[in-house]
Amino acid sequence: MINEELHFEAFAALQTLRSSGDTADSQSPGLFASQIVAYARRGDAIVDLKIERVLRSSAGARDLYSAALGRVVRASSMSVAAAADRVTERQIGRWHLEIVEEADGLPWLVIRGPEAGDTISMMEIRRPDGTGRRLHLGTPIDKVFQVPLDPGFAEMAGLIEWLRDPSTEIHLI
Amino acid sequence: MRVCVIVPTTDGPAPILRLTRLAQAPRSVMRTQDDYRPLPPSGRYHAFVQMGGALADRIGYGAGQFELRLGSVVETGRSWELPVAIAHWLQAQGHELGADAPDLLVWATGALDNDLRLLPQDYHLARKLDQSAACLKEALNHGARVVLVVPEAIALPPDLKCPGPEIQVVADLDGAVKLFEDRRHMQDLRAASQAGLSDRKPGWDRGVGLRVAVASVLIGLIVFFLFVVGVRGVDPREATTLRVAEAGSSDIDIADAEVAADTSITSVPEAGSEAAGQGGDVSAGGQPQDIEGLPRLVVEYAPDGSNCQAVLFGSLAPERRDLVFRAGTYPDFGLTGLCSIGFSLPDVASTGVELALPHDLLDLVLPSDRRASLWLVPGDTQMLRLRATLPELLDTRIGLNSGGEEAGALSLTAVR
Repeated sequence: MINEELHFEAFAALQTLRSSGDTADSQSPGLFASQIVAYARRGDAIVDLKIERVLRSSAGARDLYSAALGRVVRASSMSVAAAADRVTERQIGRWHLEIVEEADGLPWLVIRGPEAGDTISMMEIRRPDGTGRRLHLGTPIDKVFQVPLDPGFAEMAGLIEWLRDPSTEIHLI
Repeated sequence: MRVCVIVPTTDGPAPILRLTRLAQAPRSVMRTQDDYRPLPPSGRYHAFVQMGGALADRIGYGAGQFELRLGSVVETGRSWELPVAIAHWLQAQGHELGADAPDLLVWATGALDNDLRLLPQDYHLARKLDQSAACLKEALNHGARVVLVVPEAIALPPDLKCPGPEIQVVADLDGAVKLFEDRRHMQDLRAASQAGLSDRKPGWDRGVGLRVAVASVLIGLIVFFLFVVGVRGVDPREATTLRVAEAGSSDIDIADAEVAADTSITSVPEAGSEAAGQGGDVSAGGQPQDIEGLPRLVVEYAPDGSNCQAVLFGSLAPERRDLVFRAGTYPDFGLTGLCSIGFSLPDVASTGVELALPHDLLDLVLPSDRRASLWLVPGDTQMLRLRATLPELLDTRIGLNSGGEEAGALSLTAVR
């Protein structure tokens, strides 16, 4: 990340926080807005629990985070209107996300991308309450990402329910 | 048959743990047990196994994708293609793939072209074998048959030579498949042989010369065994009666030990030895010796804190013990936690043997494994799974036949 960009994001974020009467460090002393911006723009899926706590407790911090995340995502799907309580498919920009279930009961996340152009490597999921998680998608296989939603992996615990919930935001990074 | 197929890499062996059909997912994927993300060769694997490809045509597994789960990472290269193709073929033939307690371990390496022929290239065989040596040795020690399927000849490390794996050099997948088709054929033959032996009539015929030759070899072997045990506490110049087991008419009596006196083996009777100066009944007190060439008793127990159900259904590996026949009997063993009992014939045996199983032993065996006799060839192990409820005591004798002749009896005793 370019320092100037980071500085700009942080400054804009501070303005936003001040106007909303909220501060990023109100729940967590010592946390700077720039840390939230950097966290949103990180290139890995490592979780910072301190920042995640702030995102759950501060609407302003969430706005800041979303603004910064918007700079790095390739496509996002905010909460979707769904006829059913659960969704198994979403169109996210040029990507199509689908959950399929195999005979052994194991669901798989399948993300098909465009023939050419943008590439993605991670997916971030955010619940309306600010709870979120980022997932590495690995390497596409013939332009398709295919990930087993195996609850045996810590990264996958509860993920299937989040993905099926229409109110979950999904960001492809 | 439970088969472990190893994908060797220069970093170590990667066993194929599982091969699962995917009906809904659009891609075949290769991954490890420890990571949900696909391994780098997944794209190639998808192309390799997809419908319409050479492998799908050769094996005929139909439409659908696969998830191949490995025990460790395969990073690069295409030498995984031959073992993976063999694994697909074995599974299509109804064999069970898995790394735990396999009956057969296949270690194979090689990249395949569109006609499923092995591509000539440097496969770093020596390094891969070196990295896999411990794994192969463990499988051999647990009684698995180990076959190395390789594109070119390879020298075995010294510690793998005895008992060693089979090395099979092949030029294509068909060559590899033929090995296991033949192996299956051999098993069928063995099963037929067992049935033939157990059902044979008194007038069952064989070449007399062959019978005499085989019986002679076996008797020679037993004489040697008895001598090795006996000389520890017996003056070899004494006329001696040695006994394999006190089994009535099937006892083997050897009434002159002059032969033993002519050998270069020396013995010093040990103080306190029951056999010392007692006329040389081996079963009365011969010192423990490893006896090559006679069947070993193999017993498998549930690990501490578990039960045989977990072992028989494959979720736990049994604790295995090999008991060597010595002093006219097998060492006593416990019945508590005993899941399976079987016999193995060491590679050094000169000929196969038939073991006639008594009714009191067969009564303890699961019906699906119950048979009147076992036919063992050198290097072979055959196990019989046991019922959950076992008696307080098992004291019985196994008939030993060779070349259609009764050659003695092997006594065994087990208690709770």
